[in-house]
Parts: sequence; structure tokens; C-alpha cells
Amino acid sequence: MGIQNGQVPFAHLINATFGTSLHHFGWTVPAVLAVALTALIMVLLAFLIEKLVLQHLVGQEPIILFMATIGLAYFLEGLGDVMWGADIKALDVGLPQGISDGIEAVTGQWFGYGFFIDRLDLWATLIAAMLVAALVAFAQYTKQGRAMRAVADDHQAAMSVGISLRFIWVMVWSIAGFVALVAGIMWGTKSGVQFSLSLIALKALPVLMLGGFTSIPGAIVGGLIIGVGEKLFEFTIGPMVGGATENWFAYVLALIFLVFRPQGLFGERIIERV
Amino acid sequence: MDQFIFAAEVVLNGLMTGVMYALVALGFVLIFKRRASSTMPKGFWRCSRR
Repeated sequence: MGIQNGQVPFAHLINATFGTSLHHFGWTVPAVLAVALTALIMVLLAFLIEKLVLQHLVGQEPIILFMATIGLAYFLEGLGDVMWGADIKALDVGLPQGISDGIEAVTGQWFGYGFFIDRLDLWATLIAAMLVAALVAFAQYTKQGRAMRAVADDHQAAMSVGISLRFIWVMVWSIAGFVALVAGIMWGTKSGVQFSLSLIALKALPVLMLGGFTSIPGAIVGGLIIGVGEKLFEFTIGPMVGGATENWFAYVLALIFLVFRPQGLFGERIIERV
Repeated sequence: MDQFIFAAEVVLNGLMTGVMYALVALGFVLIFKRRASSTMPKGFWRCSRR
């Protein structure tokens, strides 16, 4: 898909403007190289976002930064649409897919009923666990990671000991971009590369409300609770109301949390008094 | 008993979907964590929280 299959970027636009009929360059890019290129582009994007947008918004109200990033999201989505077209594309990065026969056989032997476990899900879990471990190790044991935590802890104190805020911002955006890249590859392999994948990003909001917006353990626990919760809810309550509860369960749970515990499970309590 | 086994399978699948949700949320947290204090130093809250 995309450049990996030799598709020319902005082909529709170029064809419409110049009357040409470009679509493929006639050769393909191996998956590893395509992933490396994507990572490189994400870092470049992080650099550009810092340079063009966020640098001008340092010290602004949070809501302004929030709106700027929402605008960025829409811009990138539109750009992607123009670049490759909006049809659903299959993504194959070489991870095994389909039912895991081993687990089915073993559980079949134990319970008399074989579990259906997708091998892709198992790999995704493994990769996610490795990524989280790497992130934690980076934040705890490297110089840059400590600088990053210092900035998160106290902006001005960090500046006063000579930590470059610009560098940290680019680094944080690159790391977040890399995490998003891994998540995107996983979801893209699981359900095809398509624009409705941004609905998954929307589902990250209930996860964040559950776990607290500033807590990494919160994000993990929140994600697990939402994942298990919506599946179990669909399993137990779903048949009573006609199913399709998976679509709204996460949001209702987030709503309940907003009413009774707005800071989430692990979030910092923000006390604002007028 | 069958129901329990089905539920266990559902929970396992849910956990793995949950990990994928967590991965997406993680990217957001990384950005939010830096932002929360980049606009307001902690001391500001300390002084105004009285």
C-alpha cells in the first residue's frame, strides 16, 4: 500500500492538474525500508510541527494548543487523502495472522473448547509490551529521558538548569509519533488502512479519561479496562439490548468517570478555585 | 461452565484489544504530560491552592 506498492504520492492531484496518467513507479519498496522511511517522516513532521506551529504558541492557553493540534489532525488527514486516495488498503508487514492453532489445541484439551486467539493480537501485545518497557527504561535511565521528566515536572526549573525546551519538544513529538506509528501499523494490519481508523484515536479519549490524562500507567490500565469492559459488556448485556454495545460502552464509562472522578484513576487532581 | 469458558475467551480477546487501545492512548499521554506543566509551572498551582 502507498509507497510500498510503488504508488505515486499525490497521483490524483498531479493527473488532474497536468493531464498525465501517473499512478505507479513500477518498482516496490520492502516493508522494512517503508517502516524506516515512515519513522523518518514522522521525525521530520515532529520537527516541522514544532517549528511552524507550536513554537509560536509557547505559553498560550491549553485550549489554544488543543485546537491547534485538532486543526493539525484534520490537515494531516486531508493531506493523506489527497496523497493516496481514500480507499481501504491492506497492510502486511509480515506478522502472522489468523487463528493460533497451538492455543486452540491446548485450550481444547483443557476445557473441551478451543479458544479463538488471533496470532496478530498476540504479536501486537508482545510488541506493545516491549515498546512500553523501552519507553520506561528511556525515561528512567537516559540523560534525555531524565531531561524529559524534568520538563514535565517543572517547566521553568528545567529551563533554569539549562535543558533546551525546543529539543525536548521535538524529542517528545518524535517519540509520540513513533508510538503512534507502531499503533497505526498494528491497527492498520488488523483492520486495514483507512480513514475511519481515526475513530480509534477517538476511542483513546475515554481511555485517557479513565486512566488520567497525564499518567502512563493510567493509559495502560485504562486501555485494558475499556478493552475487557466493552467485550464483556457485549457478551453479557449485549444480547439483551440487541448487541452493538461495543460502539458506545467506552464513552458511557468515560461519562460516568467524568461525573464521579474527573481526574481519572491515576491523574493528578487539579484544584481550581475562583 | 460453558459460559465461564466463553467469558474467559472474551476477556482474553478484550485484554489484547485493550493493549492496542492503550498503545494509542500512550501517544496522547506523552504529549499531554509535557503540556500540563508547560503552560503553568507547578509553583503557580502551589501558590494559588490555598
